[in-house]
Amino acid sequence: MQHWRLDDLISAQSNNTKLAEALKLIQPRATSGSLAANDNFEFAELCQFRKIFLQEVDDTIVGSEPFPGEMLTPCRNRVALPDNIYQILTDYYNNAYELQFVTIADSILNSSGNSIVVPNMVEQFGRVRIAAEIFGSAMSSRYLKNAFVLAKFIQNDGTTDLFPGQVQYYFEHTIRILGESKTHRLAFIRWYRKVTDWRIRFYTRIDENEESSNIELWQNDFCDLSRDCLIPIHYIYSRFVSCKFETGKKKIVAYKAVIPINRQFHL
Amino acid sequence: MSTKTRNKVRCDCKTCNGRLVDERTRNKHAELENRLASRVSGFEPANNPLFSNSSITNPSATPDQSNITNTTLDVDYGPVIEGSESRNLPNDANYEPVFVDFEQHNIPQKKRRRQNQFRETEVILDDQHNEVSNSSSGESFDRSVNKDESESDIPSDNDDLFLSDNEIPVEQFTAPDYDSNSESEYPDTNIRFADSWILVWLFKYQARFRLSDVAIDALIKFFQQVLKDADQARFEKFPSSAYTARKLLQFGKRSKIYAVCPSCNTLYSTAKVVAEEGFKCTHIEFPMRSKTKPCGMELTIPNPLTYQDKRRPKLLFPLPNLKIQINSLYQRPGFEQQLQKWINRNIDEELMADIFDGKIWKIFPSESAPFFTPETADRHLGIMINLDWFQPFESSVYSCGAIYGVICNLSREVRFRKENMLTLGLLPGPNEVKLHKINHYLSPIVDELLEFWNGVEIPAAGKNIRLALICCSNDIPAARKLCGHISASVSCHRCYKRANSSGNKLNFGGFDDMDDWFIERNLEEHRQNAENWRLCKSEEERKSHVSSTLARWTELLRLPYFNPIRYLVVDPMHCLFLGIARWIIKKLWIDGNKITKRDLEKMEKRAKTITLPANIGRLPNKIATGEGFSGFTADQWKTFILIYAIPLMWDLLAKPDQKILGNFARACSLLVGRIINYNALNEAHERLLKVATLIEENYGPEMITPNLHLCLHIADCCRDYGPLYSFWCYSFERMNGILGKLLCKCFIYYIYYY
Repeated sequence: MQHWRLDDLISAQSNNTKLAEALKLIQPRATSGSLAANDNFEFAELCQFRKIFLQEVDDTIVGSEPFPGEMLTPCRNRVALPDNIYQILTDYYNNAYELQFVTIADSILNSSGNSIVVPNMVEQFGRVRIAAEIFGSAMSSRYLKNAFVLAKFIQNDGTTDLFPGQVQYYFEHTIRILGESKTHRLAFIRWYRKVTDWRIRFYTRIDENEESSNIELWQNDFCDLSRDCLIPIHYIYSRFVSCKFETGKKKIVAYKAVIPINRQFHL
Repeated sequence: MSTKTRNKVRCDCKTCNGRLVDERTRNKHAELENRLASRVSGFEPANNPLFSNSSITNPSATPDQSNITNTTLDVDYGPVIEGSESRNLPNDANYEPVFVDFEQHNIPQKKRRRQNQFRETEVILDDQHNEVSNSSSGESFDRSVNKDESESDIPSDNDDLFLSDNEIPVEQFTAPDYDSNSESEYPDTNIRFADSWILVWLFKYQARFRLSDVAIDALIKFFQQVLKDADQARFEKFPSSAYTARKLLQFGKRSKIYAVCPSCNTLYSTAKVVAEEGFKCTHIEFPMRSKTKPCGMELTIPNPLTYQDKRRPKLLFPLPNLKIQINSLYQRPGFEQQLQKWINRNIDEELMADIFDGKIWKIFPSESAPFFTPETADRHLGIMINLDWFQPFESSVYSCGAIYGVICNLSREVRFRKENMLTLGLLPGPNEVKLHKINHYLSPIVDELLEFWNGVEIPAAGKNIRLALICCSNDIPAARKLCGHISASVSCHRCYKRANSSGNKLNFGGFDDMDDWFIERNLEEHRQNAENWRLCKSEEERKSHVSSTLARWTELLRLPYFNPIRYLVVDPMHCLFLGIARWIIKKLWIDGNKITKRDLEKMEKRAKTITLPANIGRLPNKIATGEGFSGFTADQWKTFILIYAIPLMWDLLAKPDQKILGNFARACSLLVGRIINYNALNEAHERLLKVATLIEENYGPEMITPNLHLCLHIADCCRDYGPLYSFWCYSFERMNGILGKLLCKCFIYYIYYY
């Protein structure tokens, strides 16, 4: 009751700068914890993301699009990428744009005029907030438990599938393309290896129906590095909880159980 | 000792009884007596049916008469209010005409509506009375509805009322009228003190850091000293204590407070109860019987802190003023834009993302004339209410209830913020209210809602605001009290399924004939049964009426648009997680020895190896202690089902149990999404049905609890109100405990300031 009256009085004096200044001192702190999930969580953003996940957006996402969120600490400024990842990055640009991109080394070897040289310097980040959810990475062990993510890929046969992986780090990479400076936000992810037998993968299915399985089993080790290891952060689908899962009675085989968390971006 | 001699005079007041006292004392006593007398007389115009011989309100609906009552109230207002409420002098000249205008428009309307309500029931009585022999109640109901439509002008209402003098009265739940004066008064925001912003800041500071009144009192005193030291002339009027500061800023009790009978929960106006010595409850539960005694419970206890025989009511029911709450919401900058946000959403037909995509929002109250349209978005509000009992004090058993309202027009991310929640009523303890007695508390709330349904002029909005109750989200016992349904273990409130009594326990088994009972109940039938409940002449008759017709009277039925069947949703939090999940795991598997103690220990060990991301509440590491899963909260059950259940338990279960778990986990994970489409909804429904049939197959029909039946209605509720996020009780009470704590604090706060 007193609150309402106070709010009345404050709104009546809204042009009083002295009061406005003083009130700033006692602003309540931003909510933390899971309640904060509801702050800044706008419906329109959610909808846009949903479209990207379902790949309903026609344009290819290249990573320079704006996204609802921010890169978070820990960060390292101006880090040189290792050679193998640098090569992957160049391949990534070649795929994303229909232009020719070369590494610095290649540009020295065969300097053709119309190729774009990819710089080697990136800003590296340990965490990223997308909408209301914070994704961690293996870059710092503190955020390792938030580093397991799922992403959707279109496979060679045209079907889409969710793949689990562990984010190593996020980075911002700025490049001049056709006279325009663009910043791409990408994630470097190591993907888990698929189990060949689908009966193992959907071990907890009911009535031989793949859809009914809540969790999936994957191998406990990573795939080799490939171009797919770099994806725009827009494509990150959700986090998952990983846990050890043993199958078999005599010969016990351990797998990685992938339990998607559908609190935020569940579609 | 003073040596001055004074003339003693005779005092005729009650306490002195003719003793010789000081003249000033005599005057004081005389004044007190006058005041008490005027208090009583001040309430006489208020038409309290319990005190007039018949159950009839004063037929003072004609405008001129109501004006008279209005003026008499005005005269009496001063003394009545003194001491109990701070007086609000409208010192802004511009404000007053509006205020008067508002009054005159409002009062006749309100009176009329209340009469409508009386008339409606009494007309039925009339018919019933004449046709007792053939008891064609259905027919009489139809007729009363017809009458209802044809009679719209006030004079005929009055005729009706005069005629129905010697009717059988029914139990009245109506709260006494409060002074209409204080009710519709919006405080004015002009303070005659230039530096009031300092005080505003201080009180804001107190609220922010939850400081005690003593602390803030000292702070104000210190400020006074400092400021006076700085500029004696300018801060001449700076208040010297928290009390005077409050007075200056006009913090008043702006809620109505009723005294409550602890035995039958009837409401009385506090002033009347305190004024009359030894006031006893006069409520008669069955007025149609000739020899019935009133309740007779004493309402007051002596106030230990004062001398003399001042008394205070045992129980109080504060009713926060809805108009002021709405008014202050509209005062907030940007509030109207927030109300309109939902119009500019583009979403395809297949998806449901919020309550606006549900059917109710689109077709309320009828398909032809929707209430929620883009044009009226900032004027027509839809509210969802939640009634819950909780224990505000840790060390003592004392549960009190609260009725909260949420404005659904706001978008989901701001809707459940505490500053946007409305408080409709705070039910006093120490125990939960018994079944129909809650009607006493609901009555004044329904009065307010009715007023808002017809439109209330809110000065801050500058518009006529209408408000409709579109959803009730409660746990099962509260739902049943609120909407007047029979216990959920006897019959479902949404469909025609009734419990079977095979064996020694009631159950909801039997899904083969689902097409026969899975139909929404008939609203008209329910309404009529509820009306008939009021005619029952004894406790036993009421009981048998309820068990045969499944309906009980609830004051919410006075809202013309309210549908107690469809608008009462099954709360998914209580149903799925606290209900079914717990039932399956604890009763079926642990008690049924499917999961042994050793298995539980194994599960506990496995659970420890799973690390959860930071923002998901961890499970306590005590799955195996006690009987297993002791003290899990709703949120923990949710986490357990969605994440832990399958990897932990899969290989410990037999094939049919795996099926139950798999289906249930899948259904839950489909349902808890923030956006849900119709396909997923159908799949979830199929899976829940499968869980129920599997349990019946494997464990027998007596294991089908009400919750296992009610979960079949969740899909329907989803179609009506959008995804679970928009209506489940997590949002109200348990948003990971934070909101819950806040509500408790809020409650104590209310007790404190009223």
